Amino acid sequence: MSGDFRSLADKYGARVYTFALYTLRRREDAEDVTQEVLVRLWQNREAISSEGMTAWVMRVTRNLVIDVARRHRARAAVMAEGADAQMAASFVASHHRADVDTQRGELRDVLETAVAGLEEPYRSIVVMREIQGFAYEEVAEALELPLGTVKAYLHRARRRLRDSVRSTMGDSGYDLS
Amino acid sequence: MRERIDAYLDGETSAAETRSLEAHVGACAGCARELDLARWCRRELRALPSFAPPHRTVDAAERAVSARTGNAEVIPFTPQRRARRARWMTVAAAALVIAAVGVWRGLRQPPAPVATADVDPQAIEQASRDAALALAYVGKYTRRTGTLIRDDVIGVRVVLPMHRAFVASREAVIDDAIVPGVKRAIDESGFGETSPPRVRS
Repeated sequence: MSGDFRSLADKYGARVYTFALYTLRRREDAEDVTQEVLVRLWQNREAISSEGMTAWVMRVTRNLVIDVARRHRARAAVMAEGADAQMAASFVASHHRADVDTQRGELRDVLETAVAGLEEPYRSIVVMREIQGFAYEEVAEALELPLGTVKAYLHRARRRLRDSVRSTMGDSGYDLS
Repeated sequence: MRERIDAYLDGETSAAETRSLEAHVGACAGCARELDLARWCRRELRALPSFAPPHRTVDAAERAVSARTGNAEVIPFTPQRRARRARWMTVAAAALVIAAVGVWRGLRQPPAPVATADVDPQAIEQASRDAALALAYVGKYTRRTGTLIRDDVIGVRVVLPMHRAFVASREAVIDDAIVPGVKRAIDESGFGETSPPRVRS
Protein backbone atom coordinates (compact mmCIF):
# COMPACT_ATOMS: atom_id res chain seq x y z
CA MET A 1 0.00 0.00 0.00
CA SER A 2 2.75 2.38 1.00
CA GLY A 3 4.40 2.55 -2.42
CA ASP A 4 1.13 3.13 -4.25
CA PHE A 5 0.06 5.79 -1.79
CA ARG A 6 3.40 7.57 -2.07
CA SER A 7 3.13 7.47 -5.82
CA LEU A 8 -0.23 9.23 -5.75
CA ALA A 9 1.04 11.70 -3.17
CA ASP A 10 4.08 12.47 -5.32
CA LYS A 11 1.90 13.05 -8.35
CA TYR A 12 -0.76 15.26 -6.82
CA GLY A 13 0.58 16.51 -3.51
CA ALA A 14 2.37 19.58 -4.85
CA ARG A 15 -0.61 20.69 -6.93
CA VAL A 16 -2.93 20.39 -3.96
CA TYR A 17 -0.58 22.02 -1.49
CA THR A 18 0.37 24.87 -3.82
CA PHE A 19 -3.26 25.66 -4.56
CA ALA A 20 -4.21 25.53 -0.90
CA LEU A 21 -1.25 27.66 0.06
CA TYR A 22 -2.00 30.45 -2.40
CA THR A 23 -5.71 30.46 -1.71
CA LEU A 24 -5.79 29.93 2.06
CA ARG A 25 -2.49 31.65 2.79
CA ARG A 26 -1.94 29.73 5.98
CA ARG A 27 0.58 26.93 5.98
CA GLU A 28 -1.24 24.93 8.65
CA ASP A 29 -4.53 25.09 6.78
CA ALA A 30 -2.84 24.15 3.53
CA GLU A 31 -1.29 21.12 5.19
CA ASP A 32 -4.64 20.04 6.63
CA VAL A 33 -6.33 20.34 3.26
CA THR A 34 -3.53 18.46 1.53
CA GLN A 35 -3.69 15.65 4.04
CA GLU A 36 -7.46 15.29 3.66
CA VAL A 37 -7.31 15.39 -0.14
CA LEU A 38 -4.65 12.70 -0.23
CA VAL A 39 -6.72 10.49 2.04
CA ARG A 40 -9.87 10.96 -0.04
CA LEU A 41 -7.93 10.41 -3.23
CA TRP A 42 -6.64 7.12 -1.92
CA GLN A 43 -10.07 6.03 -0.77
CA ASN A 44 -11.68 6.88 -4.12
CA ARG A 45 -8.82 6.02 -6.44
CA GLU A 46 -10.59 3.08 -8.01
CA ALA A 47 -13.77 5.04 -8.69
CA ILE A 48 -12.03 7.88 -10.53
CA SER A 49 -10.97 7.57 -14.13
CA SER A 50 -7.30 8.30 -14.70
CA GLU A 51 -8.09 11.10 -17.16
CA GLY A 52 -10.45 12.75 -14.69
CA MET A 53 -8.25 12.40 -11.67
CA THR A 54 -6.58 15.81 -11.83
CA ALA A 55 -9.91 17.58 -12.10
CA TRP A 56 -11.30 15.46 -9.27
CA VAL A 57 -8.34 16.27 -7.07
CA MET A 58 -8.53 19.99 -7.72
CA ARG A 59 -12.31 20.04 -7.25
CA VAL A 60 -12.03 18.32 -3.89
CA THR A 61 -9.16 20.60 -2.96
CA ARG A 62 -11.11 23.72 -3.75
CA ASN A 63 -14.18 22.48 -1.91
CA LEU A 64 -12.10 21.81 1.16
CA VAL A 65 -10.44 25.19 0.85
CA ILE A 66 -13.87 26.79 0.80
CA ASP A 67 -14.88 24.74 3.85
CA VAL A 68 -11.79 25.83 5.73
CA ALA A 69 -12.40 29.44 4.74
CA ARG A 70 -15.95 29.19 6.04
CA ARG A 71 -14.73 27.80 9.32
CA HIS A 72 -12.47 30.78 9.61
CA ARG A 73 -15.21 33.14 8.58
CA ALA A 74 -14.20 35.95 10.86
CA ARG A 75 -10.66 35.84 9.64
CA ALA A 76 -11.80 35.41 6.06
CA ALA A 77 -13.95 38.49 6.36
CA VAL A 78 -10.94 40.47 7.38
CA MET A 79 -8.94 38.96 4.56
CA ALA A 80 -11.59 39.81 2.03
CA GLU A 81 -11.09 43.42 2.94
CA GLY A 82 -7.42 42.98 2.33
CA ALA A 83 -6.42 43.88 5.85
CA ASP A 84 -3.89 41.12 6.20
CA ALA A 85 -3.24 40.42 2.58
CA GLN A 86 0.16 41.98 2.91
CA MET A 87 1.04 39.57 5.68
CA ALA A 88 -0.19 36.66 3.60
CA ALA A 89 1.78 37.77 0.60
CA SER A 90 4.86 38.13 2.72
CA PHE A 91 4.40 34.57 3.89
CA VAL A 92 4.43 33.29 0.33
CA ALA A 93 7.22 35.64 -0.53
CA SER A 94 9.36 34.38 2.31
CA HIS A 95 9.60 31.03 0.54
CA HIS A 96 11.48 32.21 -2.45
CA ARG A 97 12.60 35.78 -2.51
CA ALA A 98 16.03 36.11 -1.04
CA ASP A 99 17.77 36.62 -4.36
CA VAL A 100 15.86 39.34 -6.15
CA ASP A 101 16.43 43.03 -6.02
CA THR A 102 14.37 45.26 -3.81
CA GLN A 103 12.16 46.89 -6.39
CA ARG A 104 11.29 43.69 -8.15
CA GLY A 105 10.58 42.06 -4.84
CA GLU A 106 8.36 44.97 -3.93
CA LEU A 107 6.44 44.65 -7.19
CA ARG A 108 5.99 40.94 -6.67
CA ASP A 109 4.69 41.60 -3.19
CA VAL A 110 2.15 43.95 -4.67
CA LEU A 111 1.09 41.35 -7.22
CA GLU A 112 0.79 38.56 -4.69
CA THR A 113 -1.17 40.85 -2.41
CA ALA A 114 -3.49 41.59 -5.30
CA VAL A 115 -4.01 37.87 -5.93
CA ALA A 116 -4.66 37.32 -2.25
CA GLY A 117 -7.25 40.08 -2.32
CA LEU A 118 -9.29 38.59 -5.17
CA GLU A 119 -12.66 37.10 -4.35
CA GLU A 120 -13.78 33.63 -5.36
CA PRO A 121 -13.88 32.25 -7.94
CA TYR A 122 -11.42 34.75 -9.40
CA ARG A 123 -8.68 33.78 -7.01
CA SER A 124 -9.01 30.06 -7.70
CA ILE A 125 -9.00 30.68 -11.42
CA VAL A 126 -5.92 32.90 -11.25
CA VAL A 127 -4.05 30.47 -9.03
CA MET A 128 -4.90 27.45 -11.18
CA ARG A 129 -4.44 29.08 -14.56
CA GLU A 130 -1.80 31.75 -14.08
CA ILE A 131 0.32 30.36 -11.26
CA GLN A 132 -0.10 26.61 -11.63
CA GLY A 133 -0.47 26.58 -15.41
CA PHE A 134 -3.58 24.43 -15.70
CA ALA A 135 -5.36 24.39 -19.05
CA TYR A 136 -8.62 26.29 -19.34
CA GLU A 137 -10.47 23.01 -19.72
CA GLU A 138 -8.94 21.64 -16.54
CA VAL A 139 -9.87 24.77 -14.61
CA ALA A 140 -13.41 24.62 -15.95
CA GLU A 141 -13.79 20.96 -15.06
CA ALA A 142 -12.33 21.37 -11.59
CA LEU A 143 -14.43 24.42 -10.76
CA GLU A 144 -17.49 23.03 -12.52
CA LEU A 145 -17.88 26.15 -14.59
CA PRO A 146 -18.48 26.53 -18.32
CA LEU A 147 -15.33 27.15 -20.31
CA GLY A 148 -16.53 30.54 -21.48
CA THR A 149 -17.28 31.58 -17.92
CA VAL A 150 -13.78 30.65 -16.82
CA LYS A 151 -12.28 32.77 -19.59
CA ALA A 152 -14.54 35.68 -18.78
CA TYR A 153 -13.70 35.47 -15.07
CA LEU A 154 -10.01 35.22 -15.79
CA HIS A 155 -10.21 38.27 -18.03
CA ARG A 156 -11.92 40.16 -15.23
CA ALA A 157 -9.46 38.92 -12.65
CA ARG A 158 -6.47 40.02 -14.74
CA ARG A 159 -7.89 43.51 -15.03
CA ARG A 160 -8.45 43.64 -11.29
CA LEU A 161 -4.89 42.54 -10.69
CA ARG A 162 -3.55 45.26 -12.97
CA ASP A 163 -5.76 47.83 -11.31
CA SER A 164 -4.44 46.78 -7.91
CA VAL A 165 -0.83 46.94 -9.00
CA ARG A 166 -1.32 50.27 -10.71
CA SER A 167 -3.13 51.82 -7.79
CA THR A 168 -0.52 50.61 -5.36
CA MET A 169 2.54 51.52 -7.37
CA GLY A 170 1.21 54.57 -9.13
CA ASP A 171 0.95 55.05 -12.85
CA SER A 172 4.63 55.60 -13.33
CA GLY A 173 7.94 55.32 -11.61
CA TYR A 174 8.28 51.57 -11.56
CA ASP A 175 10.31 49.40 -13.83
CA LEU A 176 8.58 46.34 -15.25
CA SER A 177 11.59 45.02 -17.08
CA MET B 1 -7.79 48.94 -26.56
CA ARG B 2 -7.41 48.12 -22.86
CA GLU B 3 -10.40 45.80 -23.07
CA ARG B 4 -8.67 43.73 -25.72
CA ILE B 5 -5.20 43.48 -24.22
CA ASP B 6 -5.74 40.02 -22.77
CA ALA B 7 -7.32 38.75 -25.96
CA TYR B 8 -4.32 40.13 -27.83
CA LEU B 9 -1.83 38.45 -25.50
CA ASP B 10 -3.81 35.21 -25.72
CA GLY B 11 -3.61 35.35 -29.50
CA GLU B 12 -7.35 35.53 -29.80
CA THR B 13 -7.57 38.66 -31.92
CA SER B 14 -8.00 38.54 -35.66
CA ALA B 15 -5.15 39.58 -37.92
CA ALA B 16 -6.83 42.89 -38.67
CA GLU B 17 -7.51 43.59 -35.00
CA THR B 18 -3.95 42.66 -34.10
CA ARG B 19 -2.55 45.13 -36.61
CA SER B 20 -4.89 47.82 -35.36
CA LEU B 21 -3.95 47.19 -31.73
CA GLU B 22 -0.24 47.23 -32.42
CA ALA B 23 -0.57 50.44 -34.34
CA HIS B 24 -2.47 52.02 -31.46
CA VAL B 25 0.03 50.87 -28.84
CA GLY B 26 2.83 52.37 -30.91
CA ALA B 27 1.19 55.76 -30.67
CA CYS B 28 -0.38 55.67 -27.18
CA ALA B 29 1.95 55.71 -24.18
CA GLY B 30 -0.86 54.82 -21.75
CA CYS B 31 -1.89 51.71 -23.64
CA ALA B 32 1.74 50.73 -24.18
CA ARG B 33 2.23 50.89 -20.45
CA GLU B 34 -0.91 48.85 -19.85
CA LEU B 35 0.37 46.23 -22.26
CA ASP B 36 3.70 46.14 -20.44
CA LEU B 37 1.87 45.76 -17.13
CA ALA B 38 -0.27 42.92 -18.49
CA ARG B 39 2.79 41.11 -19.81
CA TRP B 40 4.62 41.65 -16.54
CA CYS B 41 1.72 40.33 -14.44
CA ARG B 42 1.52 37.16 -16.50
CA ARG B 43 5.27 36.61 -16.39
CA GLU B 44 5.52 37.16 -12.67
CA LEU B 45 2.53 35.00 -11.80
CA ARG B 46 3.90 32.15 -13.87
CA ALA B 47 7.25 32.56 -12.15
CA LEU B 48 5.72 32.04 -8.72
CA PRO B 49 6.87 28.75 -7.27
CA SER B 50 5.02 25.55 -6.57
CA PHE B 51 5.49 23.95 -3.19
CA ALA B 52 5.73 20.31 -2.29
CA PRO B 53 3.83 19.42 0.88
CA PRO B 54 5.98 18.83 3.95
CA HIS B 55 6.91 15.23 4.60
CA ARG B 56 4.93 15.31 7.83
CA THR B 57 1.76 16.05 5.85
CA VAL B 58 2.18 13.06 3.56
CA ASP B 59 3.16 10.87 6.49
CA ALA B 60 0.05 11.95 8.38
CA ALA B 61 -2.13 11.23 5.35
CA GLU B 62 -0.65 7.77 5.05
CA ARG B 63 -1.30 7.07 8.72
CA ALA B 64 -4.86 8.33 8.33
CA VAL B 65 -5.38 6.09 5.33
CA SER B 66 -4.22 3.11 7.34
CA ALA B 67 -6.59 3.99 10.15
CA ARG B 68 -9.64 4.99 8.11
CA THR B 69 -9.46 1.99 5.82
CA GLY B 70 -8.93 -0.28 8.75
CA ASN B 71 -11.72 -2.63 7.75
CA ALA B 72 -10.43 -2.98 4.25
CA GLU B 73 -6.85 -3.29 5.28
CA VAL B 74 -7.29 -5.77 8.07
CA ILE B 75 -5.20 -8.79 7.40
CA PRO B 76 -7.29 -11.91 6.79
CA PHE B 77 -7.63 -14.13 9.76
CA THR B 78 -5.61 -17.04 8.49
CA PRO B 79 -3.52 -19.47 10.52
CA GLN B 80 -0.43 -17.64 9.38
CA ARG B 81 -1.87 -14.40 10.74
CA ARG B 82 -3.22 -15.99 13.82
CA ALA B 83 0.20 -16.03 15.41
CA ARG B 84 0.60 -12.33 14.72
CA ARG B 85 -2.80 -11.62 16.19
CA ALA B 86 -1.99 -13.76 19.18
CA ARG B 87 1.23 -11.82 19.68
CA TRP B 88 -0.70 -8.57 19.53
CA MET B 89 -3.24 -9.83 21.99
CA THR B 90 -0.44 -10.92 24.29
CA VAL B 91 1.04 -7.47 24.13
CA ALA B 92 -2.36 -5.90 24.68
CA ALA B 93 -2.92 -8.17 27.66
CA ALA B 94 0.49 -7.25 29.01
CA ALA B 95 -0.30 -3.58 28.63
CA LEU B 96 -3.56 -4.09 30.46
CA VAL B 97 -1.78 -5.84 33.30
CA ILE B 98 0.66 -2.96 33.62
CA ALA B 99 -2.18 -0.48 33.39
CA ALA B 100 -4.16 -2.32 36.03
CA VAL B 101 -1.21 -2.51 38.38
CA GLY B 102 -0.36 1.09 37.71
CA VAL B 103 -3.88 2.29 38.28
CA TRP B 104 -4.18 0.17 41.41
CA ARG B 105 -0.99 1.61 42.80
CA GLY B 106 -1.96 5.06 41.76
CA LEU B 107 -5.33 4.73 43.44
CA ARG B 108 -3.69 3.62 46.65
CA GLN B 109 -1.80 6.88 46.82
CA PRO B 110 -3.47 10.12 47.80
CA PRO B 111 -4.75 11.72 44.63
CA ALA B 112 -2.53 14.53 43.54
CA PRO B 113 -3.99 17.19 41.29
CA VAL B 114 -2.44 16.98 37.85
CA ALA B 115 -3.05 19.78 35.44
CA THR B 116 -3.74 18.86 31.86
CA ALA B 117 -0.71 20.86 30.91
CA ASP B 118 1.43 18.40 32.87
CA VAL B 119 0.55 15.59 30.50
CA ASP B 120 2.86 15.22 27.59
CA PRO B 121 0.72 15.87 24.50
CA GLN B 122 2.95 13.53 22.53
CA ALA B 123 2.07 10.73 24.92
CA ILE B 124 -1.62 11.31 24.32
CA GLU B 125 -1.12 11.45 20.60
CA GLN B 126 0.96 8.30 20.65
CA ALA B 127 -1.61 6.47 22.76
CA SER B 128 -4.39 7.60 20.42
CA ARG B 129 -2.52 6.32 17.39
CA ASP B 130 -1.74 3.03 19.04
CA ALA B 131 -5.33 2.52 20.08
CA ALA B 132 -6.64 3.48 16.64
CA LEU B 133 -4.30 1.08 14.95
CA ALA B 134 -5.11 -1.64 17.42
CA LEU B 135 -8.81 -1.18 16.75
CA ALA B 136 -8.20 -1.07 13.04
CA TYR B 137 -6.41 -4.34 13.36
CA VAL B 138 -9.43 -6.07 14.81
CA GLY B 139 -11.75 -4.43 12.33
CA LYS B 140 -13.66 -2.23 14.71
CA TYR B 141 -12.29 1.15 13.80
CA THR B 142 -14.20 3.79 11.89
CA ARG B 143 -13.53 7.47 11.52
CA ARG B 144 -16.33 8.35 13.88
CA THR B 145 -15.30 5.94 16.58
CA GLY B 146 -11.73 7.08 16.12
CA THR B 147 -12.69 10.66 16.75
CA LEU B 148 -14.75 9.76 19.79
CA ILE B 149 -11.98 7.62 21.16
CA ARG B 150 -9.37 10.27 20.66
CA ASP B 151 -11.32 13.20 22.00
CA ASP B 152 -13.36 11.62 24.72
CA VAL B 153 -12.37 8.18 25.83
CA ILE B 154 -8.64 8.15 25.37
CA GLY B 155 -7.75 11.73 26.03
CA VAL B 156 -9.95 12.43 28.99
CA ARG B 157 -10.94 9.13 30.53
CA VAL B 158 -8.02 6.89 29.87
CA VAL B 159 -4.79 8.61 29.05
CA LEU B 160 -5.02 11.27 31.70
CA PRO B 161 -5.73 9.00 34.70
CA MET B 162 -3.42 6.32 33.40
CA HIS B 163 -0.70 8.83 32.96
CA ARG B 164 -1.14 9.94 36.53
CA ALA B 165 -0.98 6.38 37.70
CA PHE B 166 2.06 5.55 35.65
CA VAL B 167 3.90 8.63 36.79
CA ALA B 168 3.20 7.61 40.36
CA SER B 169 4.13 3.98 40.04
CA ARG B 170 6.26 3.51 36.95
CA GLU B 171 9.48 2.75 38.73
CA ALA B 172 7.90 0.21 41.02
CA VAL B 173 5.99 -1.54 38.26
CA ILE B 174 8.78 -1.77 35.77
CA ASP B 175 11.90 -2.07 37.85
CA ASP B 176 11.15 -3.93 41.01
CA ALA B 177 10.80 -7.22 39.15
CA ILE B 178 7.14 -7.62 40.02
CA VAL B 179 6.30 -8.31 36.41
CA PRO B 180 9.57 -8.99 34.61
CA GLY B 181 7.88 -11.26 32.11
CA VAL B 182 5.49 -8.54 31.11
CA LYS B 183 8.27 -6.02 30.71
CA ARG B 184 10.21 -8.46 28.55
CA ALA B 185 7.17 -9.11 26.36
CA ILE B 186 6.72 -5.41 25.81
CA ASP B 187 10.38 -4.86 25.01
CA GLU B 188 10.37 -7.68 22.50
CA SER B 189 7.18 -6.58 20.83
CA GLY B 190 8.19 -2.99 20.26
CA PHE B 191 4.95 -1.88 21.87
CA GLY B 192 5.28 1.69 23.04
CA GLU B 193 8.02 2.66 20.63
CA THR B 194 7.95 6.15 19.22
CA SER B 195 6.56 4.99 15.88
CA PRO B 196 3.25 3.17 16.08
CA PRO B 197 3.26 -0.44 14.93
CA ARG B 198 2.09 -0.78 11.37
CA VAL B 199 -1.26 -2.38 10.77
CA ARG B 200 -0.22 -3.68 7.43
CA SER B 201 3.09 -3.54 5.58
